[in-house]
Amino acid sequence: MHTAHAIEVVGAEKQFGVGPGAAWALRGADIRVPFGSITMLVGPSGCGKTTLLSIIAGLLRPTSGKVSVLDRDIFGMSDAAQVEFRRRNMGFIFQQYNLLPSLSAAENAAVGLLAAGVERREAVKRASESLKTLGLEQKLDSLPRTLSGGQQQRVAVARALVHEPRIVLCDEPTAALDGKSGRAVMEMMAQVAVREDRAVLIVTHDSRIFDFAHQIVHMEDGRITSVERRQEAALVA
Amino acid sequence: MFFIALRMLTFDTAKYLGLIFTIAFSTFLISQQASVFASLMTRTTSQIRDVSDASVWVAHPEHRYIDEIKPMPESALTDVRGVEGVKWAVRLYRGLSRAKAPDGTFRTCITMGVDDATLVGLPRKMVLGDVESLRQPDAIFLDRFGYSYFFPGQAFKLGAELELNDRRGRVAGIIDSSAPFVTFPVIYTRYSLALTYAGQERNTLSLILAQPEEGITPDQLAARIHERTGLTAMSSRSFGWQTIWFYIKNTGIPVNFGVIIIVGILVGTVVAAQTLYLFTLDNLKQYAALKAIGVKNLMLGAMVLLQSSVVGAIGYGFGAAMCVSFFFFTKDMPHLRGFITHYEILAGTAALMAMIVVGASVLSVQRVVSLEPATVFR
Repeated sequence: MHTAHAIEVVGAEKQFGVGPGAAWALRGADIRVPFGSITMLVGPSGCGKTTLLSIIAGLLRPTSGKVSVLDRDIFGMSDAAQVEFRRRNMGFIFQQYNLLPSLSAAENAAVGLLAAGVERREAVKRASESLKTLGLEQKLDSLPRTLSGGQQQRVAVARALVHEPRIVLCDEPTAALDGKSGRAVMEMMAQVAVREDRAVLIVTHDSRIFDFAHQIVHMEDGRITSVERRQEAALVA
Repeated sequence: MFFIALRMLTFDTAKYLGLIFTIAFSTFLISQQASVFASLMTRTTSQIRDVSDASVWVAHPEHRYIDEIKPMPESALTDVRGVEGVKWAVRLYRGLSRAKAPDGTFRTCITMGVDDATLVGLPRKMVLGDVESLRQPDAIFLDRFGYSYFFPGQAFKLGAELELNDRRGRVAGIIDSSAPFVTFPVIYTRYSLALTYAGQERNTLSLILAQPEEGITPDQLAARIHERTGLTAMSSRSFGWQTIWFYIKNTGIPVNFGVIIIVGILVGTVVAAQTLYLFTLDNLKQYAALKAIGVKNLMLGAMVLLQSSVVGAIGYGFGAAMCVSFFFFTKDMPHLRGFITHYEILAGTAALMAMIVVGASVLSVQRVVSLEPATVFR
């Protein structure tokens, strides 16, 4: 495992609202995500996990604190540079998949490439290859509504990885899946997403997938309470 | 990314058709009602427009519009002819008379009496017969809708007779005159014959048609006639507008149509803009996902604008086609003839729809641009 950190957050605070009604979602959170690892961020609902994930993704600006991703201060960039940085370097997997219902599986998986300006035919071709490696070669032209939850999440995995991002951020990727499908998705993540120059950060409640983690970060009440490092993670190449 | 925008737009067929028909019906309502109003106002000037030979109209100073004419003494014609710059001037009679068909069908008709010698003032479009036949004894020209009223189901033929003020009128020609404001049949005859069809008054000269000499405009000649004779004189165009303005100022027509058109615009604007905006709101989650993935605001705005433009263009096309079809299929109905789609109104409606689409797009784009992409994690 690398010693360098793909993600480093120091003293992140996030306040929602102002005045007496203000709520603190983060109260000085620190987290380091090493390269070549899967890090899981766990904790009770409302403890600030998703807020911290959104801040790392550059989708939410912290009230204070420093956020460094791939050695770049993402909140020191212009908005346009931040969008470009996110598009190039990050892949997202959401709890509800967030596939576009009007696009086929292959087109959904190609969205990241299309956003990067890759020509449609080429983007769909590359996305199709990616879906084939995830076992969806029979479903390339299927609309999301015709796919099972596990298949939809595999399309989401393909969409997150097709442009070969160095950081993959996942929000409860297995929460809507049964145990078998969830495990299958995690096996793919472990095989495809984790490499020496990459890192995966997963927000999850799902203890069934803890075996895949190299590092489990526990959060509570807007703070990191403990970091549990593991010697071996399941099925990591 | 634009194909994604179009897929998002067309994926839910019900919503897609709902958007299109909202704009289509708004377009139809606005353009159809505005065209009916414009056509109705145009119909008030039908007898003016049908006279293509003369460009200046002279009337009694107290006249108010073509349907309310105070006859002038015969000497007025001599006075007008004496004005410098008048190339020629002729009489024109306009009045109402009751006509009766052999089977007893009767109706009030607009009777136009043109100069006996020159026949100046006749409409140029003949359906049957020729202009010179108006010189025959008791000859009248009847407009084709009047013919169909008096002789229903009969093919156009010359020689049919009508009784006008206990005198005979023989149909010597059938003309295609413009539809009048009220759907009275229109009869053209010689001036001298027209007087016999009308109730006698001391003064009988309804109007004088005049033509300027070369180098003098109708407006210049009209001003000169007014100055020299004290009569009201104006160009055909001004006379038409005077009549239109009379109806606008003195009837409830513009108010009623105005209310309908304004309500149509307001309802169309609100419903169309709101529907477009709600469509974007329905897709916010998808936009948030695209934004999180790295699609720039500019591209998202272009996608929204494309969706609105496509819906706007198709909806407007359908609405305009409905409007044109309405007038096409009703053009031969006697009470609706003369009602047409005015291309200026279609152009204005297009501009209005474009404003609605752009306005709704701006609102939608603002919503998308200000969208917090972190919502995809919630």
